[in-house]
Amino acid sequence: MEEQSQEKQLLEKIKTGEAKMLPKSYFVGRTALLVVTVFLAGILAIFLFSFAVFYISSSGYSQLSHFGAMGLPGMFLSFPWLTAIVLLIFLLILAYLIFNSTGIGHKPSLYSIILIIIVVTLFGLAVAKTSFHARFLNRAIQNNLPVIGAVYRGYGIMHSDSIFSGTATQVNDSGFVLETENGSEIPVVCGSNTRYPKGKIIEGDPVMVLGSMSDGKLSAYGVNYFRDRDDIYFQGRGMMGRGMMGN
Amino acid sequence: MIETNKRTGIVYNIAVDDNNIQPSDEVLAAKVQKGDVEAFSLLVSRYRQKLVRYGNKLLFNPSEAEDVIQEIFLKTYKYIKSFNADKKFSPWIYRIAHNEFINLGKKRSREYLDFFDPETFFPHFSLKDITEEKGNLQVKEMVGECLDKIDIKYREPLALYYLEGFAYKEIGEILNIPTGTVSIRIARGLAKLKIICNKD
Repeated sequence: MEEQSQEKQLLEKIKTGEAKMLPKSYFVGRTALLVVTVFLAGILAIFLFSFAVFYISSSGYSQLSHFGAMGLPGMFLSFPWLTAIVLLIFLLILAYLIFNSTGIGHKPSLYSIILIIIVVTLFGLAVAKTSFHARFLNRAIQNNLPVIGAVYRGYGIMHSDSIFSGTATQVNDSGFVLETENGSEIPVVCGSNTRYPKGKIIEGDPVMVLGSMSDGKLSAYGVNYFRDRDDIYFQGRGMMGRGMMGN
Repeated sequence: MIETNKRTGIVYNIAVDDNNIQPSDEVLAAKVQKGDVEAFSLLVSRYRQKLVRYGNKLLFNPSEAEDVIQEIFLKTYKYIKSFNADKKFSPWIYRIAHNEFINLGKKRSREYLDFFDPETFFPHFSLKDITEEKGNLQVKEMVGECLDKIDIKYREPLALYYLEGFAYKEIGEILNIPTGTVSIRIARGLAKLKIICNKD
C-alpha cells in the first residue's frame, strides 16, 4: 500500500508540475561551460609550465648548478615555487574536470594524472621554445602588458642573499666592480678559488655573482656572464632587481 | 498495450511495437524525455524493487532505502534529458541511486568517506574474468548471506555483480571508478567473503 501511495504521489508531483525535468539546453550549456573551463584551465597550466621553464632557462637559475654545492641554497630559494604550486592546483583541477565531470566515467587515477602532466609538459616545452615569453617580458618591462605583466616583472633574476646581479665594470686580475640596476657599485673580490663556469668575464658583461658580503666587499665563489640571446632576463632592461643587493 | 503492476495495481497504457514486444528501458526513457509520464511510471514500476534491494545491501538500516527511493525517482525524472538513449538505462539510474544512498550513508557513518582510495588512484589493468563464478549458485548464496559483514567498498561491487547482474564496465560507470578497480574489488571482496562465511 505504501509503495502504491508513494508511486501515486510521485506521478502526482510530475503531473502538477511540482517535479520538473531540466531542459536539454541546461545540459548542453553545462557541457559547454565544462569544455570552456577545461580549455582555459589547460591553457593556463601550459602557460604556467612554459613560464617556469622560460624563467629557469633565462634567469641564470640553471647556471647555479655550475657553482656546485654552493649554488644549491640559491637554487632552492630561487625556484619558482609559487608558479609550481599554482600549476599543481591547475593540474588537479584539470584532472578532476576531465575525469570526474565529463562523463569519462571514473575518478582521476595516477595514470590519468600522469597523462595530463605529459600533455601539459609537451605543450609547455613547445611554448617555452618560442619567443612568446620573451615578447611578453619585453612588453611587461615597457609596462605595456596589463594583468600578467606583474608576473613577469615580479620574477626577474633569482632572489637570494648570496646571489648578486648586474653589469661588470673595472675588470682587473683581482676582481671587478658590480654595477647593479639601482645604480650602486659593489667591489667584487675574485681569488684562485673563484669559479668561472663559462670562462673569464669582460668589461660590460651582464653577470651573476655567487658570494658573500663582508665589509662592503663581495667575495665571489663563482661568476657567470650572460651574453647569450636566451639569457633575456640579463639582457638590457631584463635586470629587474629582485636579486639585487638591498632587495 | 495495457500493463498492470501486480503489486501496486497501477495500470499503464504503453505502446508496443509491431511484434507486441514490451518496450525496452531505453525506449521508455526516450518517451519520458518527450514528456510521456506513463512511460516514466512504467520505469518506476520496473526499477522500484531492484533499487530497494540494492539500497538494502548498502545501508545498515534497510528501512532507510525505502525513504530514499522517492528522491531517486524524482532525480531520475529531473535529469532524464541528460540520459543518452543509445546507452543502457540501468547503469544510469543505478548511478543516481548509488549517489543518493552514499549521500545518506555519509550522514550516518564515516565508513562512506573515502577522499583518497589507493585502489582507485593506482588502478590495476588486469581484469580477471570470474564469469564462471557469476552463475555459481553457491557463490551467489554466500554473497546474499554474508555481504553485510564486509566493507562497503567491496560490498557494493559484489552486490552489483552477483545480485544485480551488471558487467565490470557498467559497475565502473555506476561507482565512478576504473574498470580495473572494479575487478580488483570484486576479487578481494570475494576472498574476504569466503573467509567470513566459512568462519560463520
